[in-house]
Amino acid sequence: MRVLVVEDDKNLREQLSSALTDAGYTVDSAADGEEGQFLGETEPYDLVILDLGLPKIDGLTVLKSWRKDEKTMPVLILSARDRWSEKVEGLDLGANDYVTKPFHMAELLARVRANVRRQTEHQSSVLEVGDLRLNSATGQVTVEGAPIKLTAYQYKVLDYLMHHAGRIVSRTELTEKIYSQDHERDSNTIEVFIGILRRKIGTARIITEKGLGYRLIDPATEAQ
Amino acid sequence: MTTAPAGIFQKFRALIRRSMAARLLTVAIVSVIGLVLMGLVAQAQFNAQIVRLTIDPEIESVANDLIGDAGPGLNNDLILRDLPFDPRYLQPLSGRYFQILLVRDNAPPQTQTISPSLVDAEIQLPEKVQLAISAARPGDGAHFFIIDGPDGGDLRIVVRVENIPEVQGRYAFVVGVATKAIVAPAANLVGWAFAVFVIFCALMVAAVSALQIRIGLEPLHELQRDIAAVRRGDADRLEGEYPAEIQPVTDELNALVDHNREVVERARRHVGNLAHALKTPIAVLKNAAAVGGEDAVLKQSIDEMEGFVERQLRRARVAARAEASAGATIAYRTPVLKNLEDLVFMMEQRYDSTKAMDISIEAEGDVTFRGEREDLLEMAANLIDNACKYGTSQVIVRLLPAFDSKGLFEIVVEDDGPGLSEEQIARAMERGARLDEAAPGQGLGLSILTETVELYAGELLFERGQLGGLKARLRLPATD
Repeated sequence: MRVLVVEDDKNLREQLSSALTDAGYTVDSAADGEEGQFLGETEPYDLVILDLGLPKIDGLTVLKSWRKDEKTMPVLILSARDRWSEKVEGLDLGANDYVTKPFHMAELLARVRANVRRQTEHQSSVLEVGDLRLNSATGQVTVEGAPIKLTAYQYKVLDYLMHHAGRIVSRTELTEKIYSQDHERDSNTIEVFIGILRRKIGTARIITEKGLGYRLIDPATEAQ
Repeated sequence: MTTAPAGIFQKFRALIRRSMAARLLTVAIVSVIGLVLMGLVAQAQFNAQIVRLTIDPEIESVANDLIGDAGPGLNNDLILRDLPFDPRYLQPLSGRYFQILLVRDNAPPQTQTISPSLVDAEIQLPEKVQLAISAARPGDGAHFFIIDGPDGGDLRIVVRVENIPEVQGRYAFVVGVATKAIVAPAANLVGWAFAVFVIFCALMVAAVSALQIRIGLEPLHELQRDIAAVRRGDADRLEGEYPAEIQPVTDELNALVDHNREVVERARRHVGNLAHALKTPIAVLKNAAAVGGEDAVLKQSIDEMEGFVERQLRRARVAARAEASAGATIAYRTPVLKNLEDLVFMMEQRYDSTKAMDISIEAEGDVTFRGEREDLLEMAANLIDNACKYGTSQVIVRLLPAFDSKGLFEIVVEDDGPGLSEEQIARAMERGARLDEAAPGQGLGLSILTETVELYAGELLFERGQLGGLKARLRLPATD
């Protein structure tokens, strides 16, 4: 699992590198935007941690150029600025997540784990249930051709349901799959995720089977 | 006494300087006065013509009659064998007179006979007439003058010097008609016409200048409306088409608008850089402290530092913005719904790994915020973040675009958390006593929020919501 850290502050870069190395990742690091951009273009990374305020080329520009080159690895923005507009812009440019400095290393590692798994749990493939499409290579989800935005965990729930489309998936099963070793969870949070997903992809697509769990269907064929 | 007219003059100058309408009006008044003066000159010309055309032939012919009627008396002096046919030369002070004088070589002419109309007061001839008489030779013809008449008015006279057969010496025959009697009736008639003409012209000029003021100054009014639109946030710049005379002004104004934006932007960038510079070392410290075994004192100090830096930076930003907007309220336009959607997605991500939060947006329609995007995001993010922090699993963000009478739209953020008690709500709404005062960097982060809301003359209310938690109602100005 290769991770690239682009951060200009030497101390923070070293802290991140050692924390990620301890967590089992192979870490490359870059001290400025130019080097970072080059590494991101040439090496296959599973995730990039990108600082926004970088010397030579700033983080948003680096991100933009990667996405233009169709580099789809998850990018986690590390931002010291609490300028909301900048964060919104980063997400619009294709960043997958952001962490605001100063941060807790444990929180950062959890985000890294969630985003890496989203990318690598399945082989590059396109799942389709009716006009609901999930492209696991790019992480893009579309409904009737229109892209929708999902967070890492929302994505994981949908991904699992789509892999088991038409079959009843129990809450326990979902909870285990989604959270594995991360945290202690009560199954109530799954209900929340289902609620959010229903709102985003359409209520009729996820059916609640009382006492059993959930089932993802294609409402167009199910109705017949 | 001298200061009063000077004072009026000063006031007039001030008025001219203050009012373009006064300037144009002054030009109009001056041209009317010029018109009247021209009219007066024309009338004087007209009167002179009347005198030449009507009086001169009459007095010349009366003078001829007198010369014809003159003859020798008993003592070889001059007598009139007949009087002029016109009876007005006989009526006292009728305005028509004659006077016959003996011309002497080394003395002024001596009056011999006067018309009965003069009663017994002869006409006092001015020196120039006397000199003309002395210099004149018989047969020279008629000389015309205007002198002071016996009734005080102008008297048009003709002078002829002739030798009368059988009478010793030369005699000067002077016949005069008071011009007033002839000119006045005609002048009266023409005077009325003239007065009507002048009034008509004055009204015309007044109407024309009124039109000029209206039409000529209209682009200025248009400019004023457009500037007001920019200030209200209905337009980004002055986009209208203006006359060439005003275009430089609008260009300058646009440059000023751009400059103001730049100043705000620069201040913000500066603060952003500062934030960046300070926060990275704090992040390093924080991680180092965690690796070193979570020293409670160290951790608390770092948290305090973090909170302090954050608050001060935000405060500086608000101050920079307030300063920029105090000079000239240059307005921005920010669409609300799209930004709320982006924000909600960011919040979903923020709480993704720690807490499943169902943040939904209910919007009755979109609205445009009269302010900056960063500020809108800041305020809404603050409320949504608090709702996510304190909510259990659900947050509803509602956008109510309907304006109230003050032109405010409303963003409602509700959560299903424990909410606040009545006293806590009351304290939160009080100025000065803010919920987050006690714990820097924690709490609701309300102080920065209330400052920003105040800056936009918006409103922030808290109440108990239907989900059971806190319901925050943020009202902000919409562009109209």
